[in-house]
Amino acid sequence: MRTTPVLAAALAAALSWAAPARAQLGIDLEPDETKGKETKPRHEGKKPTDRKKPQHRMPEARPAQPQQEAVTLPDFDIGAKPKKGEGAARLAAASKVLASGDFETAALAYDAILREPALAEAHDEARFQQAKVLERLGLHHSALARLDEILSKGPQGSRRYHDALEWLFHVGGKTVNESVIVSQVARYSNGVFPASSQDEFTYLLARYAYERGQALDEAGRQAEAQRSYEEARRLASQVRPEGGATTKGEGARQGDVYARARFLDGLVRYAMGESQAAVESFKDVVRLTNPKRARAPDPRMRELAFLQLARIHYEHKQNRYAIFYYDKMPWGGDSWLEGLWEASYAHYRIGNYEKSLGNLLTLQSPYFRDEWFPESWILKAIIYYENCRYPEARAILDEFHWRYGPAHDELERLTGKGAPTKFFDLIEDAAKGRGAGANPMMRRIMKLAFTDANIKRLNDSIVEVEKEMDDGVGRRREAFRSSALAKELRERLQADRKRLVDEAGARARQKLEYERDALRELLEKALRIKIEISRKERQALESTLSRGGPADVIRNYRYSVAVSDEHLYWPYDGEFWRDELGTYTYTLTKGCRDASVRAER
Amino acid sequence: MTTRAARFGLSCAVAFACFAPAAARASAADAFENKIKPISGQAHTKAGKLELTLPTGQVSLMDAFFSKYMVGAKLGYHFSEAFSLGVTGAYGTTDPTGSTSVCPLNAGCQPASAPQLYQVPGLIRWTAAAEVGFSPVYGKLNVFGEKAVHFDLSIMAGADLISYRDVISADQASAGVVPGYKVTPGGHIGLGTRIFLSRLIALRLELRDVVYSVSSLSSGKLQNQLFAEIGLSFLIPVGGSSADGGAR
Repeated sequence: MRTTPVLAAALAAALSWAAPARAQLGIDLEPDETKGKETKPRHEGKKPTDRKKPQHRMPEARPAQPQQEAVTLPDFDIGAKPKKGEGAARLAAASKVLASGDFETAALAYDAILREPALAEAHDEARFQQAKVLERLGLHHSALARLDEILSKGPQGSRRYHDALEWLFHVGGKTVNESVIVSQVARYSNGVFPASSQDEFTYLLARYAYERGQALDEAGRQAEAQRSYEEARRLASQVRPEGGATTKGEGARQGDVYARARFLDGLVRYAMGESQAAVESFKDVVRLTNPKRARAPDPRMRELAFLQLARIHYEHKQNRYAIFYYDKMPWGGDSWLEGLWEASYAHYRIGNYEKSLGNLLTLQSPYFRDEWFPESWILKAIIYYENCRYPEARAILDEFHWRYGPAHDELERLTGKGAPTKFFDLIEDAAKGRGAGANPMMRRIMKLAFTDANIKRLNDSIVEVEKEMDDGVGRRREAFRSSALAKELRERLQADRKRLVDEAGARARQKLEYERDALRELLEKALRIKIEISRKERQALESTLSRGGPADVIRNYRYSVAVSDEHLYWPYDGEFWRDELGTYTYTLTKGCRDASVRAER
Repeated sequence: MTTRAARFGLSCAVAFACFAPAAARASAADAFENKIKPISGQAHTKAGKLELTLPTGQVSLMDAFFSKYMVGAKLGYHFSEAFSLGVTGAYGTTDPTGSTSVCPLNAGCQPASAPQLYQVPGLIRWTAAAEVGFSPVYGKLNVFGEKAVHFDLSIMAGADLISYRDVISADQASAGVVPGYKVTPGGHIGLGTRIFLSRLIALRLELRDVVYSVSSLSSGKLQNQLFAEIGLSFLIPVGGSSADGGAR
């Protein structure tokens, strides 16, 4: 009785969920030929959660607004009624304020220009300068929105189009979630990108194509998905090896963009069923991120590359290679526990029950009480079952039911109700330990939701947007806080937050539904193993009765606690030390397995 | 043998930070540092437990005139893994040390007479004390790669009442005056360790420096007495259990 097919399926799914690999909602799934010209914002054919471009974003498209009252700020009167042709002078005055370092006043000055229809000739420049000022004020999302306004006009519509593209990368690099600019990059993909950002741009475009392929795949449109994957591969191959050396400027993300492109190439190859090519790509990533030789160290990317290599080898039943790569994953890294869990299956496959149980000991230690590895109990029970340790196997399954039965009920209850927004609020409460989320069970379930990299990234963005609303805008000088600009920024940020919350809620729901179904399967499987245990116990009893004495199936195993010179043996006594995690080996002292059979596995 | 230890508490961290080199305090190798506690499911906990040490045997160290052998008891309560409050008392006997021999020029060495010993300090009859204990270190020893022995280290300080024999002058001693006993306040600081024999029993070893004043002395009134102490501790749960949640 094995659960390896389940794990293999889970691994395949996990491979496709690798950090940058999963599609964000809002990806345009329409065929390319139905798209409008690249300079037009595309609203048609998108999912309901797509970012809508509200009309009020375009100041010149607004109905004439009543003239605002003059707001007098130090050295600059931004409320004076302008005359036509004064744009250059007003821009110069605003630049002067900017040069003085008073960014808040400068932002208001540019806003005043933008709100004045008579100064239309200065709007383009004012908008760009305002985006820069907002970025300097730390209002990244607001700055991105301004840049988006410029980019939506296209190269012909704005003289600052190319500068805006450059700043898009600059500002995007300062946000916690790179995805916020991916859709913009895709939308303006025909724009001529500045040389300094060309590789980054190509990479993001490739990533967008890959995510689109994933979404199409999930929607069952395989042919289109394949085309999208091809496009992703083509784009990823366009990232130049020397590109990695240039990704060190201000605002650039940490790491080597070429390595990231190679990683993406590996994911695409895997998605296309080319495992061997994927392995080569991931090996490239490992070489490129070698901390001793890397141009731009990227430990996370290296860890992910090892994980993917291990998974591919595991999938192809090359268990010892898989273990080799799992062991390469840095201790305590973001995916370390995941690797430890998967490695325990690889150890189980080769009959190394001791190491497998040792890994499970780490996973089930009090340190990781809130982590979600329900299948680890099943694997543990199977190992005991296979060694004819039926009472222990039964006890493990009982504990599994005791732990995860209520969790399944809770998942059923949660996924059966509520709008996405409320759903995300619940997750947030759990993350912050307040309200209904303070319940330990809820906390555990919600932590599970955050294991989805996209939900985590969306949550990071939500937190960033909230911070921008509360601190970035809310803690400015009174003159700024009460201005029309601040009001507009807040409204825009609130709309951004709502969109992100809806998206995160929908994703969390999807994730929990998946986990609910998986848990239900595991509970059923546990029941089947219990029945099997009962059958074996009955057989043993019958055998005992027929022989007139105990059937001696359990025998002591030969074992040694000897370790290499580099290691030290510490007997386990129920206490977990942080530095011991991951090193445990659990000695099975007795069972019914033949040592020679075990060695052959 | 290999020793590993965990450090508890902010105060402790601050205390140790004064001594530890920077690299030792921020180990980049430990990815879980500052994320999760050094120990989970701690096997030997003290928080919320009464500790009765019975009996304690004390012996004085490095006293020039009197060796003291005392028997006592200690009762403490552990508010947390790190802090405890306790009372202790001990009663004992004394013997003149070998260094109290007197060697006149024209005769062989002989033990000091009682009147001669009346003139020197250090004869203590009993002590009673209240003390605060701070136990920042919990660790385990790997004994010959076979067995793990758990221990803790603590420092303690307290206020004492000390009953000692008074010191008289040579003239008074010649006149046949026998000194009486006096009780004086004092204080002590000490270092201690518990070696856990089981979850409820520990071997306790301590080194204490008791300081008290002998008013009769014309100079050097402040006396130091160093005691080594050994006892068997019984840890009796009476309050909440350890915050750690217990072992699996």
